[in-house]
Amino acid sequence: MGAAGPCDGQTDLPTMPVVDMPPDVPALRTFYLYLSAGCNLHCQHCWITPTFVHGKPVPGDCLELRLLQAAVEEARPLGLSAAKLTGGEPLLHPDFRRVVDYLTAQELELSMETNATLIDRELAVHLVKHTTLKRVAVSLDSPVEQDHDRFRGKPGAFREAVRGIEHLVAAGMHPQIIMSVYRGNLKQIDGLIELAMKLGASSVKFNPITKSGRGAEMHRQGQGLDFDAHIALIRHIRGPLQDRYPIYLSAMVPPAMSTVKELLRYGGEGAGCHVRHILGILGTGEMALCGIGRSIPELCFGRLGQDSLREAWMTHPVLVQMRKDMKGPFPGVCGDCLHVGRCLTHCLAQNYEANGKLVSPSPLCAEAVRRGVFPDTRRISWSSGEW
Amino acid sequence: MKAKSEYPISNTQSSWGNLRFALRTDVVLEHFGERSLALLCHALKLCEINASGQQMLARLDGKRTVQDIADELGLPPQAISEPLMEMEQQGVVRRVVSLSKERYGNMSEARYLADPDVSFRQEDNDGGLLYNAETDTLEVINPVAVEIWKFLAAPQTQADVVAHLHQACEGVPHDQVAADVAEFLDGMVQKGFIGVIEESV
Repeated sequence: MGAAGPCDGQTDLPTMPVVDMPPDVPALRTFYLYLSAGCNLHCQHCWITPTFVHGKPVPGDCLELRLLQAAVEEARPLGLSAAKLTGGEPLLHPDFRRVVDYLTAQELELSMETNATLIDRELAVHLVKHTTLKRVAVSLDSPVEQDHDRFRGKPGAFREAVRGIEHLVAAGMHPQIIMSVYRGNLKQIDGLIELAMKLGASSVKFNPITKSGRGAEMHRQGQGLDFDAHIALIRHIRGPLQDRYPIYLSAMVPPAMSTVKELLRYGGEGAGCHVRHILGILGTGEMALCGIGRSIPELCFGRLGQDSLREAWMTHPVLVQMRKDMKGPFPGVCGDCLHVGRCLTHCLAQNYEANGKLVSPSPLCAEAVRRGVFPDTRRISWSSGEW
Repeated sequence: MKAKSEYPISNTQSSWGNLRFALRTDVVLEHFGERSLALLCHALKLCEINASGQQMLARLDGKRTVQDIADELGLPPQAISEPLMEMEQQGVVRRVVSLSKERYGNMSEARYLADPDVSFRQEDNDGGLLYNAETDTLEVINPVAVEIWKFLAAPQTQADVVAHLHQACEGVPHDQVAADVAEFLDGMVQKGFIGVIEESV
Protein backbone atom coordinates (compact mmCIF):
# COMPACT_ATOMS: atom_id res chain seq x y z
CA MET A 1 0.00 0.00 0.00
CA GLY A 2 2.49 2.71 1.04
CA ALA A 3 -0.19 4.96 -0.23
CA ALA A 4 -0.95 6.88 2.89
CA GLY A 5 1.82 9.40 2.50
CA PRO A 6 5.55 9.71 2.34
CA CYS A 7 6.05 8.47 5.88
CA ASP A 8 4.14 7.46 8.97
CA GLY A 9 6.96 8.48 11.26
CA GLN A 10 8.80 5.92 13.30
CA THR A 11 8.87 5.39 17.00
CA ASP A 12 12.22 5.55 18.70
CA LEU A 13 13.73 2.13 18.88
CA PRO A 14 16.31 0.68 21.20
CA THR A 15 19.78 1.20 19.86
CA MET A 16 21.42 -2.06 18.85
CA PRO A 17 25.11 -2.59 19.30
CA VAL A 18 26.89 -1.04 16.38
CA VAL A 19 30.41 -1.99 15.46
CA ASP A 20 33.09 -0.33 13.44
CA MET A 21 31.11 2.75 12.49
CA PRO A 22 32.73 6.07 11.68
CA PRO A 23 31.46 8.73 14.09
CA ASP A 24 29.62 10.69 11.40
CA VAL A 25 27.66 7.68 10.16
CA PRO A 26 24.46 7.08 12.13
CA ALA A 27 23.18 3.65 13.00
CA LEU A 28 20.95 2.03 10.40
CA ARG A 29 18.04 1.08 12.61
CA THR A 30 15.13 0.48 10.26
CA PHE A 31 14.50 -0.96 6.84
CA TYR A 32 11.52 0.38 4.94
CA LEU A 33 10.76 -2.65 2.83
CA TYR A 34 8.69 -1.84 -0.24
CA LEU A 35 8.11 -5.55 -0.62
CA SER A 36 6.00 -5.28 -3.73
CA ALA A 37 6.14 -2.58 -6.35
CA GLY A 38 2.63 -3.56 -7.33
CA CYS A 39 -0.72 -2.96 -5.70
CA ASN A 40 -4.12 -4.57 -6.08
CA LEU A 41 -5.79 -1.16 -5.75
CA HIS A 42 -5.45 1.85 -8.03
CA CYS A 43 -5.72 4.76 -5.65
CA GLN A 44 -6.19 8.22 -7.10
CA HIS A 45 -3.66 9.86 -4.85
CA CYS A 46 -0.89 7.30 -4.36
CA TRP A 47 2.53 8.91 -4.07
CA ILE A 48 4.33 5.67 -4.86
CA THR A 49 2.37 5.00 -8.08
CA PRO A 50 2.72 1.24 -7.92
CA THR A 51 1.94 -1.01 -10.83
CA PHE A 52 -1.72 -2.04 -10.75
CA VAL A 53 -1.84 -5.74 -10.13
CA HIS A 54 -4.88 -7.71 -11.13
CA GLY A 55 -4.07 -11.21 -10.10
CA LYS A 56 -0.41 -12.06 -9.62
CA PRO A 57 2.24 -9.34 -9.44
CA VAL A 58 4.78 -8.86 -12.21
CA PRO A 59 7.97 -10.91 -11.65
CA GLY A 60 10.86 -8.69 -10.64
CA ASP A 61 8.58 -6.24 -8.88
CA CYS A 62 8.82 -8.10 -5.57
CA LEU A 63 11.85 -8.12 -3.30
CA GLU A 64 13.58 -11.46 -3.50
CA LEU A 65 13.92 -13.19 -0.16
CA ARG A 66 17.57 -14.09 -0.76
CA LEU A 67 18.39 -10.43 -1.39
CA LEU A 68 16.55 -9.42 1.75
CA GLN A 69 18.39 -12.03 3.79
CA ALA A 70 21.74 -10.77 2.54
CA ALA A 71 20.69 -7.19 3.27
CA VAL A 72 19.67 -8.03 6.83
CA GLU A 73 22.95 -9.80 7.43
CA GLU A 74 24.87 -6.81 6.14
CA ALA A 75 22.78 -4.32 8.07
CA ARG A 76 22.79 -6.13 11.42
CA PRO A 77 26.24 -4.83 12.42
CA LEU A 78 25.14 -1.33 11.39
CA GLY A 79 22.42 -1.39 14.05
CA LEU A 80 19.38 -2.81 12.28
CA SER A 81 16.59 -3.56 14.76
CA ALA A 82 13.33 -2.96 12.92
CA ALA A 83 11.60 -3.13 9.58
CA LYS A 84 8.48 -1.60 8.12
CA LEU A 85 6.66 -3.69 5.54
CA THR A 86 5.04 -1.58 2.89
CA GLY A 87 4.71 -1.36 -0.86
CA GLY A 88 2.77 -1.21 -3.14
CA GLU A 89 0.77 -3.71 -1.22
CA PRO A 90 3.19 -5.84 0.84
CA LEU A 91 0.80 -8.78 1.02
CA LEU A 92 1.08 -9.21 -2.73
CA HIS A 93 4.58 -10.54 -2.23
CA PRO A 94 4.40 -14.22 -3.25
CA ASP A 95 6.64 -15.19 -0.32
CA PHE A 96 5.14 -12.75 2.15
CA ARG A 97 4.76 -15.29 4.93
CA ARG A 98 8.35 -16.50 4.54
CA VAL A 99 9.57 -12.90 4.53
CA VAL A 100 7.75 -12.13 7.77
CA ASP A 101 8.82 -15.36 9.41
CA TYR A 102 12.43 -14.72 8.43
CA LEU A 103 12.36 -11.17 9.81
CA THR A 104 10.74 -12.49 12.97
CA ALA A 105 13.46 -15.11 13.34
CA GLN A 106 15.94 -12.24 13.06
CA GLU A 107 14.11 -10.60 16.02
CA LEU A 108 13.43 -7.43 14.08
CA GLU A 109 10.51 -5.38 15.35
CA LEU A 110 8.00 -5.17 12.54
CA SER A 111 5.35 -2.73 11.46
CA MET A 112 3.24 -2.85 8.32
CA GLU A 113 1.27 -0.54 6.06
CA THR A 114 -1.40 -2.36 4.12
CA ASN A 115 -4.77 -1.89 2.50
CA ALA A 116 -5.82 -5.01 4.47
CA THR A 117 -7.82 -6.40 1.57
CA LEU A 118 -5.72 -9.58 1.52
CA ILE A 119 -5.77 -10.31 5.24
CA ASP A 120 -7.83 -13.36 6.13
CA ARG A 121 -8.45 -14.82 9.57
CA GLU A 122 -5.65 -17.35 9.41
CA LEU A 123 -3.05 -14.80 8.28
CA ALA A 124 -4.17 -12.32 10.94
CA VAL A 125 -3.75 -14.92 13.67
CA HIS A 126 -0.34 -15.91 12.34
CA LEU A 127 0.86 -12.31 12.17
CA VAL A 128 -0.38 -11.43 15.62
CA LYS A 129 0.51 -14.62 17.46
CA HIS A 130 3.64 -15.85 15.74
CA THR A 131 5.56 -12.86 14.42
CA THR A 132 7.23 -9.75 15.79
CA LEU A 133 4.69 -7.52 14.08
CA LYS A 134 3.83 -4.74 16.54
CA ARG A 135 1.92 -2.18 14.52
CA VAL A 136 -0.31 -2.23 11.48
CA ALA A 137 -1.67 0.78 9.62
CA VAL A 138 -4.60 0.34 7.26
CA SER A 139 -5.90 2.84 4.73
CA LEU A 140 -9.54 3.81 4.90
CA ASP A 141 -10.55 7.07 3.30
CA SER A 142 -14.27 7.19 3.83
CA PRO A 143 -16.94 5.61 5.99
CA VAL A 144 -19.03 5.36 2.81
CA GLU A 145 -18.34 2.19 0.88
CA GLN A 146 -18.88 3.63 -2.60
CA ASP A 147 -16.69 6.67 -1.90
CA HIS A 148 -13.82 4.58 -0.59
CA ASP A 149 -14.08 2.19 -3.54
CA ARG A 150 -14.12 5.05 -6.04
CA PHE A 151 -11.08 6.67 -4.44
CA ARG A 152 -9.22 3.36 -4.22
CA GLY A 153 -10.13 2.45 -7.78
CA LYS A 154 -11.62 -0.94 -7.08
CA PRO A 155 -15.15 -2.07 -6.28
CA GLY A 156 -15.25 -4.13 -3.10
CA ALA A 157 -12.09 -2.53 -1.64
CA PHE A 158 -13.99 -1.12 1.33
CA ARG A 159 -15.61 -4.39 2.33
CA GLU A 160 -12.37 -6.30 1.94
CA ALA A 161 -10.46 -3.73 4.00
CA VAL A 162 -13.05 -3.74 6.76
CA ARG A 163 -13.01 -7.50 6.83
CA GLY A 164 -9.21 -7.49 7.06
CA ILE A 165 -9.36 -5.03 9.94
CA GLU A 166 -11.93 -7.19 11.71
CA HIS A 167 -9.64 -10.22 11.38
CA LEU A 168 -6.73 -8.27 12.83
CA VAL A 169 -8.80 -6.98 15.74
CA ALA A 170 -10.20 -10.43 16.43
CA ALA A 171 -6.64 -11.74 16.58
CA GLY A 172 -5.68 -9.03 19.05
CA MET A 173 -4.09 -6.39 16.81
CA HIS A 174 -5.76 -2.98 16.90
CA PRO A 175 -4.54 -1.23 13.76
CA GLN A 176 -4.12 2.43 13.07
CA ILE A 177 -6.46 3.72 10.39
CA ILE A 178 -4.92 6.14 7.92
CA MET A 179 -7.22 8.52 6.10
CA SER A 180 -5.84 10.24 3.03
CA VAL A 181 -7.57 13.58 3.13
CA TYR A 182 -8.60 15.61 0.10
CA ARG A 183 -11.40 18.07 -0.59
CA GLY A 184 -13.79 15.27 -1.48
CA ASN A 185 -13.73 13.56 1.91
CA LEU A 186 -13.24 16.49 4.28
CA LYS A 187 -16.83 16.20 5.47
CA GLN A 188 -16.42 12.51 6.20
CA ILE A 189 -13.77 12.84 8.87
CA ASP A 190 -16.17 12.46 11.79
CA GLY A 191 -17.80 9.46 10.18
CA LEU A 192 -14.42 7.86 9.53
CA ILE A 193 -13.37 8.34 13.16
CA GLU A 194 -16.60 6.79 14.36
CA LEU A 195 -16.11 3.85 12.01
CA ALA A 196 -12.53 3.39 13.23
CA MET A 197 -13.73 3.30 16.83
CA LYS A 198 -16.47 0.84 15.96
CA LEU A 199 -13.95 -1.43 14.23
CA GLY A 200 -11.61 -1.37 17.23
CA ALA A 201 -8.78 0.67 15.73
CA SER A 202 -6.12 2.02 18.07
CA SER A 203 -5.80 5.41 16.40
CA VAL A 204 -6.59 7.41 13.29
CA LYS A 205 -4.00 9.28 11.33
CA PHE A 206 -4.79 11.93 8.76
CA ASN A 207 -2.52 12.45 5.78
CA PRO A 208 -3.47 15.24 3.41
CA ILE A 209 -2.65 13.97 -0.07
CA THR A 210 0.71 15.18 -1.30
CA LYS A 211 1.79 16.53 -4.66
CA SER A 212 3.84 13.40 -5.26
CA GLY A 213 2.99 10.62 -7.69
CA ARG A 214 -0.69 10.47 -8.64
CA GLY A 215 -1.41 13.05 -5.96
CA ALA A 216 0.09 15.69 -8.23
CA GLU A 217 -2.77 15.27 -10.69
CA MET A 218 -5.34 15.52 -7.89
CA HIS A 219 -3.74 18.79 -6.79
CA ARG A 220 -3.83 20.08 -10.38
CA GLN A 221 -7.54 19.30 -10.41
CA GLY A 222 -8.03 21.30 -7.22
CA GLN A 223 -8.71 18.25 -5.08
CA GLY A 224 -5.73 18.73 -2.80
CA LEU A 225 -5.79 20.90 0.30
CA ASP A 226 -4.24 24.32 -0.09
CA PHE A 227 -2.25 25.91 2.73
CA ASP A 228 -5.23 27.38 4.56
CA ALA A 229 -7.26 24.19 4.33
CA HIS A 230 -4.29 22.10 5.41
CA ILE A 231 -3.64 24.21 8.50
CA ALA A 232 -7.35 24.36 9.33
CA LEU A 233 -7.51 20.58 9.10
CA ILE A 234 -4.56 20.14 11.46
CA ARG A 235 -6.08 22.59 13.97
CA HIS A 236 -9.45 20.84 13.78
CA ILE A 237 -8.07 17.33 14.21
CA ARG A 238 -5.60 18.07 16.98
CA GLY A 239 -7.97 20.40 18.80
CA PRO A 240 -11.77 19.99 18.83
CA LEU A 241 -11.84 16.52 17.30
CA GLN A 242 -9.25 15.12 19.70
CA ASP A 243 -11.19 16.78 22.55
CA ARG A 244 -14.36 15.08 21.36
CA TYR A 245 -13.20 11.54 20.57
CA PRO A 246 -11.42 9.16 22.95
CA ILE A 247 -9.47 7.50 20.12
CA TYR A 248 -5.99 8.87 19.47
CA LEU A 249 -5.92 11.18 16.43
CA SER A 250 -2.76 12.29 14.75
CA ALA A 251 -1.50 14.28 11.82
CA MET A 252 2.07 15.02 10.88
CA VAL A 253 3.01 18.65 10.70
CA PRO A 254 6.25 20.57 11.25
CA PRO A 255 6.35 21.57 14.93
CA ALA A 256 6.72 25.23 14.02
CA MET A 257 3.23 25.01 12.55
CA SER A 258 1.80 23.44 15.72
CA THR A 259 0.14 25.42 18.46
CA VAL A 260 1.49 25.26 22.00
CA LYS A 261 -1.53 23.18 22.97
CA GLU A 262 -0.73 20.70 20.21
CA LEU A 263 2.92 20.55 21.21
CA LEU A 264 1.87 19.81 24.77
CA ARG A 265 -0.65 17.20 23.69
CA TYR A 266 1.43 15.42 21.08
CA GLY A 267 4.96 16.05 22.30
CA GLY A 268 7.45 15.28 19.58
CA GLU A 269 5.13 12.95 17.69
CA GLY A 270 5.34 13.59 13.98
CA ALA A 271 7.91 16.30 14.50
CA GLY A 272 10.46 15.08 12.06
CA CYS A 273 11.70 12.36 9.82
CA HIS A 274 13.93 9.59 11.17
CA VAL A 275 15.52 9.22 7.77
CA ARG A 276 19.02 9.37 9.26
CA HIS A 277 18.39 5.87 10.60
CA ILE A 278 16.31 4.46 7.76
CA LEU A 279 17.13 2.75 4.51
CA GLY A 280 14.43 2.07 1.94
CA ILE A 281 14.60 -1.12 -0.08
CA LEU A 282 12.39 -1.18 -3.14
CA GLY A 283 10.72 -4.24 -4.61
CA THR A 284 13.28 -4.16 -7.40
CA GLY A 285 16.09 -4.56 -4.84
CA GLU A 286 17.23 -0.98 -5.16
CA MET A 287 18.38 0.77 -1.99
CA ALA A 288 16.77 4.17 -1.65
CA LEU A 289 16.14 7.01 0.73
CA CYS A 290 12.55 5.78 1.07
CA GLY A 291 9.68 5.12 -1.33
CA ILE A 292 10.55 8.30 -3.18
CA GLY A 293 13.34 6.36 -4.83
CA ARG A 294 10.73 4.73 -7.04
CA SER A 295 10.04 8.00 -8.82
CA ILE A 296 13.34 9.84 -8.28
CA PRO A 297 16.27 7.64 -9.35
CA GLU A 298 18.94 9.97 -7.93
CA LEU A 299 17.65 9.05 -4.47
CA CYS A 300 18.58 5.40 -5.04
CA PHE A 301 21.94 4.22 -3.76
CA GLY A 302 22.59 0.97 -5.57
CA ARG A 303 21.05 -2.46 -5.95
CA LEU A 304 21.08 -5.38 -3.55
CA GLY A 305 23.02 -8.29 -4.99
CA GLN A 306 25.22 -5.98 -7.00
CA ASP A 307 26.28 -3.26 -4.59
CA SER A 308 27.36 -3.38 -0.98
CA LEU A 309 24.67 -2.14 1.41
CA ARG A 310 27.29 -1.29 4.00
CA GLU A 311 29.28 0.78 1.53
CA ALA A 312 26.18 2.54 0.24
CA TRP A 313 25.10 3.41 3.79
CA MET A 314 28.50 4.73 4.73
CA THR A 315 29.68 6.46 1.60
CA HIS A 316 26.92 7.24 -0.87
CA PRO A 317 27.30 10.96 -1.70
CA VAL A 318 23.57 11.69 -1.26
CA LEU A 319 23.54 10.22 2.24
CA VAL A 320 26.86 11.81 3.18
CA GLN A 321 25.64 15.22 2.02
CA MET A 322 22.28 14.78 3.74
CA ARG A 323 23.95 13.95 7.06
CA LYS A 324 26.25 16.92 6.71
CA ASP A 325 23.34 19.24 5.90
CA MET A 326 21.35 17.92 8.86
CA LYS A 327 24.01 19.19 11.20
CA GLY A 328 23.26 22.72 10.05
CA PRO A 329 23.40 25.55 9.40
CA PHE A 330 19.95 25.00 7.96
CA PRO A 331 18.69 26.91 4.94
CA GLY A 332 15.87 29.44 4.86
CA VAL A 333 13.51 29.79 7.76
CA CYS A 334 14.83 26.52 9.27
CA GLY A 335 18.06 28.34 10.10
CA ASP A 336 16.12 30.63 12.41
CA CYS A 337 13.64 28.10 13.80
CA LEU A 338 13.52 26.95 17.42
CA HIS A 339 12.37 23.50 16.38
CA VAL A 340 14.92 22.61 13.75
CA GLY A 341 17.00 20.42 16.07
CA ARG A 342 14.07 18.06 16.38
CA CYS A 343 12.22 18.70 13.15
CA LEU A 344 15.33 18.42 10.94
CA THR A 345 13.22 20.00 8.15
CA HIS A 346 10.39 17.45 8.58
CA CYS A 347 9.72 15.17 5.57
CA LEU A 348 12.82 15.17 3.38
CA ALA A 349 11.05 13.38 0.54
CA GLN A 350 8.45 16.13 0.28
CA ASN A 351 11.18 18.76 0.57
CA TYR A 352 13.02 17.18 -2.34
CA GLU A 353 9.90 17.16 -4.48
CA ALA A 354 9.25 20.79 -3.67
CA ASN A 355 12.75 22.25 -3.62
CA GLY A 356 15.05 19.71 -5.26
CA LYS A 357 16.93 19.56 -1.98
CA LEU A 358 16.45 17.13 0.88
CA VAL A 359 17.44 19.38 3.76
CA SER A 360 15.38 22.45 3.03
CA PRO A 361 12.29 24.14 4.47
CA SER A 362 9.19 21.98 4.36
CA PRO A 363 6.59 23.15 1.83
CA LEU A 364 4.23 24.09 4.68
CA CYS A 365 6.79 26.25 6.52
CA ALA A 366 8.03 27.81 3.28
CA GLU A 367 4.47 28.75 2.33
CA ALA A 368 3.86 30.17 5.80
CA VAL A 369 6.90 32.39 5.35
CA ARG A 370 5.71 33.50 1.89
CA ARG A 371 2.35 34.42 3.35
CA GLY A 372 3.91 36.18 6.33
CA VAL A 373 2.19 33.85 8.80
CA PHE A 374 5.17 31.88 10.04
CA PRO A 375 4.96 32.43 13.82
CA ASP A 376 7.62 34.95 14.85
CA THR A 377 7.76 33.43 18.33
CA ARG A 378 9.23 30.28 16.78
CA ARG A 379 12.15 32.21 15.37
CA ILE A 380 15.38 32.07 17.32
CA SER A 381 15.88 35.75 16.53
CA TRP A 382 12.53 36.74 18.07
CA SER A 383 12.71 39.19 20.92
CA SER A 384 9.77 40.55 22.83
CA GLY A 385 11.76 43.72 23.52
CA GLU A 386 12.02 44.78 19.90
CA TRP A 387 9.38 47.48 19.65
CA MET B 1 34.82 42.92 43.10
CA LYS B 2 35.68 44.09 46.62
CA ALA B 3 35.95 41.58 49.43
CA LYS B 4 33.09 41.55 51.90
CA SER B 5 35.40 42.63 54.71
CA GLU B 6 35.91 45.97 53.00
CA TYR B 7 32.28 46.94 53.56
CA PRO B 8 31.68 48.57 56.92
CA ILE B 9 28.20 47.12 57.14
CA SER B 10 26.45 44.12 58.57
CA ASN B 11 26.56 40.71 56.90
CA THR B 12 23.14 41.11 55.36
CA GLN B 13 23.95 44.52 54.03
CA SER B 14 27.23 43.31 52.63
CA SER B 15 25.22 40.75 50.65
CA TRP B 16 23.10 43.55 49.26
CA GLY B 17 26.27 45.28 48.16
CA ASN B 18 27.23 42.22 46.13
CA LEU B 19 23.98 42.14 44.24
CA ARG B 20 24.06 42.77 40.52
CA PHE B 21 21.10 43.75 38.38
CA ALA B 22 20.37 44.27 34.70
CA LEU B 23 17.49 45.78 32.79
CA ARG B 24 15.19 43.00 31.61
CA THR B 25 15.49 42.33 27.89
CA ASP B 26 11.72 42.57 27.52
CA VAL B 27 11.62 46.08 28.94
CA VAL B 28 12.05 49.22 26.85
CA LEU B 29 12.92 52.59 28.36
CA GLU B 30 11.66 55.88 26.97
CA HIS B 31 13.17 59.00 28.51
CA PHE B 32 11.21 62.20 29.14
CA GLY B 33 13.57 64.71 30.73
CA GLU B 34 14.13 63.77 34.34
CA ARG B 35 11.62 60.97 34.21
CA SER B 36 11.37 57.82 32.18
CA LEU B 37 8.71 55.34 31.27
CA ALA B 38 9.51 51.66 31.28
CA LEU B 39 7.40 49.64 28.85
CA LEU B 40 7.04 46.20 30.41
CA CYS B 41 6.46 44.14 27.29
CA HIS B 42 6.05 40.95 29.29
CA ALA B 43 3.16 42.38 31.28
CA LEU B 44 1.90 45.01 28.82
CA LYS B 45 2.26 47.67 31.49
CA LEU B 46 3.96 51.03 31.91
CA CYS B 47 6.06 51.91 34.90
CA GLU B 48 7.24 55.41 35.76
CA ILE B 49 10.87 55.86 36.76
CA ASN B 50 12.03 58.93 38.70
CA ALA B 51 15.35 60.77 38.34
CA SER B 52 17.28 58.68 40.87
CA GLY B 53 15.88 55.52 39.35
CA GLN B 54 17.09 56.76 35.96
CA GLN B 55 20.58 57.19 37.32
CA MET B 56 20.62 53.66 38.65
CA LEU B 57 19.20 52.12 35.51
CA ALA B 58 21.77 53.95 33.41
CA ARG B 59 24.49 52.15 35.35
CA LEU B 60 23.02 48.67 35.22
CA ASP B 61 25.14 46.51 33.00
CA GLY B 62 24.93 43.23 34.83
CA LYS B 63 28.53 43.66 35.94
CA ARG B 64 28.43 46.56 38.37
CA THR B 65 27.42 45.56 41.89
CA VAL B 66 25.07 47.59 44.04
CA GLN B 67 28.13 48.70 45.93
CA ASP B 68 29.82 49.88 42.72
CA ILE B 69 26.77 51.97 41.82
CA ALA B 70 26.49 53.26 45.37
CA ASP B 71 30.11 54.35 45.20
CA GLU B 72 29.59 56.08 41.86
CA LEU B 73 26.51 57.95 43.08
CA GLY B 74 27.89 58.64 46.54
CA LEU B 75 24.99 56.88 48.25
CA PRO B 76 24.81 54.07 50.81
CA PRO B 77 24.25 50.63 49.21
CA GLN B 78 20.82 50.34 50.79
CA ALA B 79 19.69 53.41 48.89
CA ILE B 80 20.49 51.52 45.69
CA SER B 81 19.51 47.97 46.61
CA GLU B 82 16.05 48.79 47.94
CA PRO B 83 14.71 50.60 44.87
CA LEU B 84 16.34 48.05 42.58
CA MET B 85 14.68 45.19 44.44
CA GLU B 86 11.40 47.05 44.16
CA MET B 87 11.96 47.43 40.43
CA GLU B 88 12.77 43.72 40.32
CA GLN B 89 9.38 42.93 41.84
CA GLN B 90 7.74 45.25 39.31
CA GLY B 91 9.46 43.44 36.47
CA VAL B 92 11.71 46.28 35.33
CA VAL B 93 15.06 44.77 36.20
CA ARG B 94 16.34 41.29 36.80
CA ARG B 95 18.91 40.05 39.23
CA VAL B 96 22.16 38.78 37.77
CA VAL B 97 23.13 35.79 39.80
CA SER B 98 25.18 32.67 39.51
CA LEU B 99 22.74 29.86 38.98
CA SER B 100 23.49 26.31 39.89
CA LYS B 101 22.00 23.31 38.15
CA GLU B 102 22.59 21.25 41.25
CA ARG B 103 20.20 20.81 44.12
CA TYR B 104 22.04 20.11 47.31
CA GLY B 105 22.05 20.85 51.02
CA ASN B 106 18.97 22.19 52.71
CA MET B 107 16.76 22.75 49.69
CA SER B 108 13.93 24.16 51.77
CA GLU B 109 15.96 27.35 51.97
CA ALA B 110 17.18 27.29 48.40
CA ARG B 111 15.92 30.05 46.19
CA TYR B 112 15.01 29.43 42.61
CA LEU B 113 15.15 31.82 39.72
CA ALA B 114 14.07 31.54 36.11
CA ASP B 115 17.29 31.65 34.11
CA PRO B 116 17.31 35.19 32.71
CA ASP B 117 19.13 33.97 29.60
CA VAL B 118 16.18 31.77 28.69
CA SER B 119 13.74 33.31 26.25
CA PHE B 120 10.09 32.86 27.19
CA ARG B 121 7.51 33.00 24.43
CA GLN B 122 3.80 33.07 25.14
CA GLU B 123 1.47 32.79 22.16
CA ASP B 124 -1.89 32.19 23.82
CA ASN B 125 -3.36 31.02 27.10
CA ASP B 126 -2.52 27.37 26.47
CA GLY B 127 1.06 27.61 27.67
CA GLY B 128 4.36 28.83 26.33
CA LEU B 129 7.81 28.01 25.04
CA LEU B 130 11.13 28.33 26.80
CA TYR B 131 14.19 28.55 24.62
CA ASN B 132 17.75 28.49 25.84
CA ALA B 133 19.87 29.79 22.97
CA GLU B 134 23.08 28.89 24.74
CA THR B 135 22.22 25.19 24.83
CA ASP B 136 19.74 25.29 21.94
CA THR B 137 17.14 23.55 24.07
CA LEU B 138 13.42 24.04 23.90
CA GLU B 139 10.75 23.27 26.46
CA VAL B 140 7.01 23.56 25.97
CA ILE B 141 5.22 24.39 29.19
CA ASN B 142 1.58 24.37 30.22
CA PRO B 143 -0.30 27.31 31.79
CA VAL B 144 0.53 26.25 35.36
CA ALA B 145 4.20 26.09 34.50
CA VAL B 146 3.88 29.50 32.87
CA GLU B 147 2.54 30.83 36.15
CA ILE B 148 5.54 29.40 38.01
CA TRP B 149 7.94 30.70 35.38
CA LYS B 150 6.60 34.23 35.70
CA PHE B 151 6.68 34.00 39.49
CA LEU B 152 10.33 32.99 39.32
CA ALA B 153 11.27 36.24 37.63
CA ALA B 154 12.34 37.08 41.17
CA PRO B 155 14.06 34.58 43.50
CA GLN B 156 11.63 32.37 45.40
CA THR B 157 11.86 29.39 47.70
CA GLN B 158 9.98 26.20 46.91
CA ALA B 159 7.54 27.08 49.71
CA ASP B 160 6.96 30.49 48.09
CA VAL B 161 6.13 28.82 44.80
CA VAL B 162 3.79 26.33 46.43
CA ALA B 163 2.00 29.10 48.33
CA HIS B 164 1.67 31.21 45.19
CA LEU B 165 0.39 28.35 43.12
CA HIS B 166 -1.95 27.04 45.77
CA GLN B 167 -3.58 30.43 45.82
CA ALA B 168 -3.84 30.46 42.01
CA CYS B 169 -5.13 26.88 41.70
CA GLU B 170 -8.38 26.88 43.59
CA GLY B 171 -9.55 23.55 44.91
CA VAL B 172 -6.28 21.65 44.42
CA PRO B 173 -5.02 20.04 47.65
CA HIS B 174 -1.91 21.67 49.09
CA ASP B 175 0.01 18.37 49.15
CA GLN B 176 -0.62 17.81 45.48
CA VAL B 177 0.51 21.32 44.61
CA ALA B 178 3.64 20.81 46.71
CA ALA B 179 4.45 17.50 45.03
CA ASP B 180 3.87 18.92 41.55
CA VAL B 181 5.99 21.98 42.26
CA ALA B 182 8.84 19.87 43.62
CA GLU B 183 8.78 17.66 40.55
CA PHE B 184 8.59 20.63 38.19
CA LEU B 185 11.44 22.50 39.87
CA ASP B 186 13.59 19.37 39.91
CA GLY B 187 13.04 18.78 36.22
CA MET B 188 13.56 22.37 35.17
CA VAL B 189 16.73 22.73 37.25
CA GLN B 190 18.11 19.57 35.67
CA LYS B 191 17.29 20.86 32.21
CA GLY B 192 18.90 24.18 32.98
CA PHE B 193 15.88 26.43 32.56
CA ILE B 194 15.62 27.30 36.24
CA GLY B 195 18.60 27.77 38.52
CA VAL B 196 19.28 27.65 42.22
CA ILE B 197 20.88 30.86 43.43
CA GLU B 198 24.35 30.08 44.69
CA GLU B 199 24.87 33.32 46.60
CA SER B 200 23.09 33.60 49.94
CA VAL B 201 21.51 36.94 49.18
